[in-house]
Order: sequence, then structure tokens, then C-alpha cells
Amino acid sequence: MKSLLTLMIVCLSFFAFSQDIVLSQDVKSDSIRPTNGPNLKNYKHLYVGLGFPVFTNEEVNYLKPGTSMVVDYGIRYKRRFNNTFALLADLSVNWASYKIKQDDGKSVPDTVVNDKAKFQINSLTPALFARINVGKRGNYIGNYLDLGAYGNWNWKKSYKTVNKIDNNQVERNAINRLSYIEPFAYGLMARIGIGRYAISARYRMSDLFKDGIHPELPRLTLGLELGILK
Amino acid sequence: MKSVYFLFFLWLLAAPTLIKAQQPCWVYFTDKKGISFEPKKYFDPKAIERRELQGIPLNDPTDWPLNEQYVSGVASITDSTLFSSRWFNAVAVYATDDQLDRISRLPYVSEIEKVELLTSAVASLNDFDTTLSEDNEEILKNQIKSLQGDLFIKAGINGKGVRIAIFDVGFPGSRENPAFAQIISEGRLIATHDFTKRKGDNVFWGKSHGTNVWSCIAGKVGDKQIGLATGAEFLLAKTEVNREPFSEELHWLAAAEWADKNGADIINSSLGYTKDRYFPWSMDGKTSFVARAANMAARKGMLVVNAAGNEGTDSWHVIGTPADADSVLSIGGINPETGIHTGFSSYGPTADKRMKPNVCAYGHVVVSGSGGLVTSQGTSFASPLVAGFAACVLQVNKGMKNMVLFHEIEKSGSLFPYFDYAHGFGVPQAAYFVSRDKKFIEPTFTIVETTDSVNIVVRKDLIRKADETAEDSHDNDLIGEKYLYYNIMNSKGVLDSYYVVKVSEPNVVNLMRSNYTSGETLNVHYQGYTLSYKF
Repeated sequence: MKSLLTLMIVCLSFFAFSQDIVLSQDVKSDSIRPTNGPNLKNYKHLYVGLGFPVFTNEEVNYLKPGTSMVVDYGIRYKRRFNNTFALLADLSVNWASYKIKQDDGKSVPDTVVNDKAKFQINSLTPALFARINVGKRGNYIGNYLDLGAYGNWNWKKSYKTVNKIDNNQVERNAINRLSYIEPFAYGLMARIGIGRYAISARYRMSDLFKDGIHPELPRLTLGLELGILK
Repeated sequence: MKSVYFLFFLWLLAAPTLIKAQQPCWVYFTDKKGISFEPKKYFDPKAIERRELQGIPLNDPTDWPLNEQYVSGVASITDSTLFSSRWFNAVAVYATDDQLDRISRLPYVSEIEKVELLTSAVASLNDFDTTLSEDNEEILKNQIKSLQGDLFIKAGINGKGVRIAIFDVGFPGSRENPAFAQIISEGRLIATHDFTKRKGDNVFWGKSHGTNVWSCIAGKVGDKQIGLATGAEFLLAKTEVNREPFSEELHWLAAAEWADKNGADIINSSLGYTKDRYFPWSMDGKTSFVARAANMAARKGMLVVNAAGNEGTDSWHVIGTPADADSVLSIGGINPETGIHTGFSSYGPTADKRMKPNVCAYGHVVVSGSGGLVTSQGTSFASPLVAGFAACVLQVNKGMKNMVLFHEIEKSGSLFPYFDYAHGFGVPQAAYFVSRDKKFIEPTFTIVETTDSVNIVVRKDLIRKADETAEDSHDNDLIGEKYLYYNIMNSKGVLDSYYVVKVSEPNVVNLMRSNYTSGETLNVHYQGYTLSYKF
């Protein structure tokens, strides 16, 4: 009897699975309010940024304008408190290169004139922001102003040179772990954004060169940022 | 130099806060003291007739004009007033924070509500074609037939004497369009107004969505009938722009008050506001301004018919607003190929678990475009099909109150009393109104209980052959009657889940009792017959 009952249940289960369902909706699960989203409690997304250092006259004397840049790639966590305020935590990897003029007056970091030379500083950058959103909206990033601070751990500090030698060969040299560059830096950041697009500004408060050994690299970087949103 | 750059950086941080932008707001007044109102001068005779028939007072304070001194008091602080609402005793203005602060201190201002950025969701249109393929001919025929519109046509019912207001993005080319030639030549295009420019009556510009929608209510080209209310009168309002940062909900309210004043019986609004401004859980019929405006329009005696929305397949998923308003007849879309819910049609229920959509109609249709008959899709077109249907019902039921009409249309639904949140009560059926005979429907299935399961077993003679051809198809296939529908309703009357199942064998559904709790109800519908079973 027991085995017959089991057989019946198996058969009924088979029939249950044999339904040819053309539409099904589970309202209960649809009603669960999500907490992850661009304008919900938690949200995280990747972003990329491209920044251009803004030179003072002093910096223009030894750096090549227009060719120096900072590339960012990072992940952002956003914790929403209400429709207007949120806190953000960023962690990004930055590749900054500052190309140095090669002329007779060259003095940074030395007087040797090469075909090309640059400082390459790669950093890991944690940052914290307060976000102010403007306007009521649905589950969208919206229009915002971010104000925050960052720290840099400069994990790669190099001076790279390129020189053409005989037979059209190119000689590339790199001096790594430059002792005259600080391992850490900090500064302020701001961002004005509309959805996935933002204009960013970064101001370095700390010096990069130890003991003022060289004129400072540009403190202000202006750039564009693209959020990689779903 | 370092300090100069630091100052520049600080300026960059502060710049956005220094910009004193004007923002749109509603300013509500405390009262309408000292107002005189002459309803017979204000309302169109048709509006007076509707109110008298429905027992709605002609001299209601919500219809009185605003106190001009209050309006000018606000206008003297901000010179940018947009629109005033009699219904809400409010004026919409652009104002800075400073101005709002001053306005809020006026003794006759009760509340200020900021209006935020919003955009409209209007169904997309396909490219047009002047010829119709055989398949599209079939769709054109069936978009009427699925509503049993042929019964209205045979009985000479065409919405005559019923006035319909259409709110849309524009009606370009409609004056030259043969689909509306008779309406225009007979002077049944009563009034037009462009609320997006706040001046002029020219609504014949913008996107052709409104022209397409109008054709689904009343279009007829030669012997090709697109909508049912070919004899109705029309008010056309341009309330939408394609994508605007502000004001369409204001336009909607302004147009509703204008429609009321001009004697509209029915409003068709094939639009909705969704994710740009709201969350799905805001769709409770109370949160959005436009939902409140739509409910007010219903209180004034107009039947408001609104498209459910086209977000069924995206993450939003649910109806938009004002389709969430309880007094709005929300219309879902069905697929002509299957007769059941079409994927893009937004699902209910509302956030507070009320059934939406209320009924449904074809979501893939033939419409009249500027150059001829074209196909298009969206619940934007299901809504006017039902609005035209409602006009026909109202023609033969003069004086029927709008909310009675609302519920009668629900009762005429092909699934009624069964419902789900994809179809509502199904596709309205003209036979309910024309023949009025309640035919007895023989049981088409039984619910068989065993110790462990509950089984739905359909009659063998009703099972369709697997190899059936087009010739074997029935009229009822147009409204998905070859499928079996079932849902699980909890003790609060809210559906927890619902299904549509293809029937290819007698034992269609087997439900294990252990999966259900006491108090839950199984509701089943198959070929016109509905039965419930309590677990």
C-alpha cells in the first residue's frame, strides 16, 4: 500500500511538471523590495577616469603640457541615506605619467637629456565622498555633487627614459623605487555628475618630492569619469 | 601659485551651490474666500448634461476659480506662474528658494510642493507602410472582433453623442487623414489645446503617436474600421513632449480640468510615468501627482482610460502611473497570435496590492499613420480600443455613472469573475451589453481532490487537436480561450501566483496540497467557466 502511494505521488509529481505553462508570475517574489540599485540602499559599480594635470608656470618649465595624464580604474560602493545624501567609498588603481621636457635647461630629476623621459607613478587610491543628489528620481544615479578626500599609496615610482641608439634600435631604461618620491600622498576630490558621466577634480595637498628636492608635480588634475553602470 | 590653484579647486566645489536655480513648485492656497462662480457660464452644456445625469454637483467648491488676489500675491513674488488648478486650489510656479520662503509666509498659502524632473513613457512606433499584408489585415479585423465590436457595428452603435478627450504627444496630419475625415467634416472635433506651449490650439504637430491613438478610438478608412467610436465627439489635448525635463504631470491636470469644462465623458491617456521619477513601490495610486489628478477627474464624472505601460519585460515590470490610480481603468495588452498577455505589457498589481490592469485589449494593432495604415504596438493602443468600446457602451446607457461604467466594463471581461495581474478581467465583450442574456455555461473542467493533491481535469471533448490548422481556430482563440488560467489567492484576496497553461490532455494541472496553506484559494478559468477551490 505504501509503495502504491509513493508511486501515485511520483506520478502526480510527473504530471505537475508536465504542465505546459505559457505564462507564470510569482507575485510574492515580485513584491520583495530590492535594496541594491543606483538609487537604493546599496550600490556598487566600476568606473574609469581620465585626468589631465593642470600646470603652473613653474611646472610648465620642465613638463610637457598635454601629454601627461592620469588613468583611473576603480570600484565604487554607494550607501544611500535618503534621496539627497549618500556616502561613497572608492578604491581605484591609478596610472599617472608626467612627461619631462628634454632640453638644455633640464634639471629634473637630472641634467641628462634623453629622447623621451617621464615619471611614472602608479598608485592604489582609497577615497571617501559625501554625495549630494539634486532632484527626486527613480532608481537612477541622477545629478550629483561629490566632495571627498583620498589617499594614495604610490606602489610604483619610476623614472623612464627612451633613447634611439645605432641601427634604429631603441634603448629603454627605468629607474624604479625612486627614493625621493613619497610613498604616500593625500588630497581632496570633487565630482559633478549626470548619470554615468562626471567631471572630476583632484587636488593633492601633500608634496610628492621629499624635502623639496625638485619642483612639485602638478597638484590639480581635472578629468572625466565614466561610471560602468548596469 | 599653489594657493591660486587651491582656491580654484574650492570654487569648483562650491560652484553648484552658488547657482540659484528656479524650480517648479505647486503653491496650494488655504481657501477660496470671496469667489463667485457661475457654473452655467463656465461649463460647456455637454459638461452640465454629464454632471446632471451623474448627479455630480454643478457648484462644487473644487470647480470654483482661484482667488485672484492670492494668485497675484504669489505672482508678485515670482513672475513665472505656469498654470492654476481649480481642482487642487493651487498655482504652479517657477521660484527660487528665497522666493519660496517668501511665498510660504503668505497667510493664504497652505503648502508648497516641489515638482521634480520627470519624463513620459510613450510607446514606440514602427515604420509605416501604406499597404497591409494578409496578416495585418487579420490583425485589423481582429482588434475589433476580439472586443466583439462587430455586435456594436451591426447594432449601429458607434459612440454617437459621447465626448472623448485624448491626451497625447501630438496629432500631426490628423486633419488631412482620411481616417478622421468624417469626424472633422461633421464638426465632431469640438476643441483642441496645446498645454505644452500654454498658448494656441494647434495640436497638429509633434510625434504622430496621438494620431495613431485617435485612430484606435475612432479611425475608419473606407470599409476598414480601426476603432469603435466612429460617431463620437473629440477633444484633443497635447500634454506631452517627447522628452521634457518638467511639467507633463501639470499638463495632464490642466488638460483634465479643460476636458471637464468642455464636457468630456471619457479621457483616453496613452501615457505613463515610471522609472525616471518613481520606484515600482510608488505605484500605489496615491504617491504620484498625476494619479491624484486622475482620481479627481473620475470624481468629476469622467471615465479615465489609461494604458498600463510597456515595461513588462524590463526591470520596472509593473504598471506606471496614473494607471495605478484606483478610479482609472487601466488597460493591458494581449498578443494577437496567442490571445493572451503580450510580453511588454506591464503587470499588476499596484504597490498596495490592488488588481491592475483592469481589462486588456490588443497590444499589437493596425493604426492610421500620416501616410496610411501601419502596424504598431504598445498598451498605448490597447487603451484607445477600450476607450472606443466604452463610448459605445455609454451611447446606449446614457446617464450611466462613470464608475458604474468602469465596473460594467470589468464585468464584461472575457475572464470575469476570474482575474489575474496580467489580464485583469480579460478582454471586454460587447455581447455583455448588447444581448444582456446571461447564458448558462456548462462546466468545462472539474477540480478533483486526492489525499495529497488537487487536480484540474478538463473535459476531453474540449481539448484541441495538436495538429489543428487555421481553419480549426475559434473566435474565442482571439481572447486566449484555448488556454486554462489558474491562480492562487491568499486569505487577503491578493494573488500570490498565477498561470496560463496550454491544454493538451485532460489532466492539466496537479497541485500538491503540501505546497499550500489553509485559507488559500485556487481559482480556475477555462473556456468561460470559472471555479474556485479552498485549500
